Amino acid sequence: MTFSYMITDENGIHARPAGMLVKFAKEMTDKITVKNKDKSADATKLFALMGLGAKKGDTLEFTVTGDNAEETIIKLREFCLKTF
Amino acid sequence: MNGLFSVSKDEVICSLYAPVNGTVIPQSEIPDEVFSTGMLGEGIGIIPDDGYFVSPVKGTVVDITPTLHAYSLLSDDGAEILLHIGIDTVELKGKGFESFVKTGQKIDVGTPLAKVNLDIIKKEGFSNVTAMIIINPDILSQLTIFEGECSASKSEIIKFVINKSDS
Repeated sequence: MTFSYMITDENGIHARPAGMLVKFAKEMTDKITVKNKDKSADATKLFALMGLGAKKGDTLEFTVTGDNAEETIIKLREFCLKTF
Repeated sequence: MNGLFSVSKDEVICSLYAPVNGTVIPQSEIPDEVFSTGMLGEGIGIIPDDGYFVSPVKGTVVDITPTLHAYSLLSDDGAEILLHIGIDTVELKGKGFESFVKTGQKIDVGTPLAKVNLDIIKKEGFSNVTAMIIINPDILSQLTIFEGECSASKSEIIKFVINKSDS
């Protein structure tokens, strides 16, 4: 399942939000990947997330795979609204 | 042979050296819970005495934030190190930061990474406490921290063992 989210945070995905996403992704049983333009990253990998260079106005595409994908996407949406 | 460190043939002892002159403080005392709680990994905080930051390890620059305040470094032994200069300094948008390296560049202990104007950080109301965090602590063991005064590229401030057969 996929879900898109446009970043509204002024500073994009820097260390703090990336770290929070890693923590969130590690708590989920499903696998979460994030794509920004031509780059994609495993949501549990801090360096890869910071390397996406995601800025305000960029649209992230999340892909969730696993048994609880529907539920995970709902939580992910809440998380994104709070964090990015 | 290696003091308290016991290593087998698949294991290698790694050291991270001070990235700046200053004072090493425990991770738990970094004034930002993203770092202090261990959410990102294990490491230390440093109160810098000056603004000359160098590489703590031999390896590669994986990423530099566009605001030049955070450096992602991969050691040749496989440790992933985040060097984050100051707290909330993303807000400065590069003001006071000058970088000397590029993404993908090979670095050695002591390779200049950045020159930072600590007065600007302070004047803008931010803490200059720097976090050096190993973000993949699962690949290492026997992590030892050396707190107190440190001198850039000379003081060994973190020591650990990496099991090469796992990585």
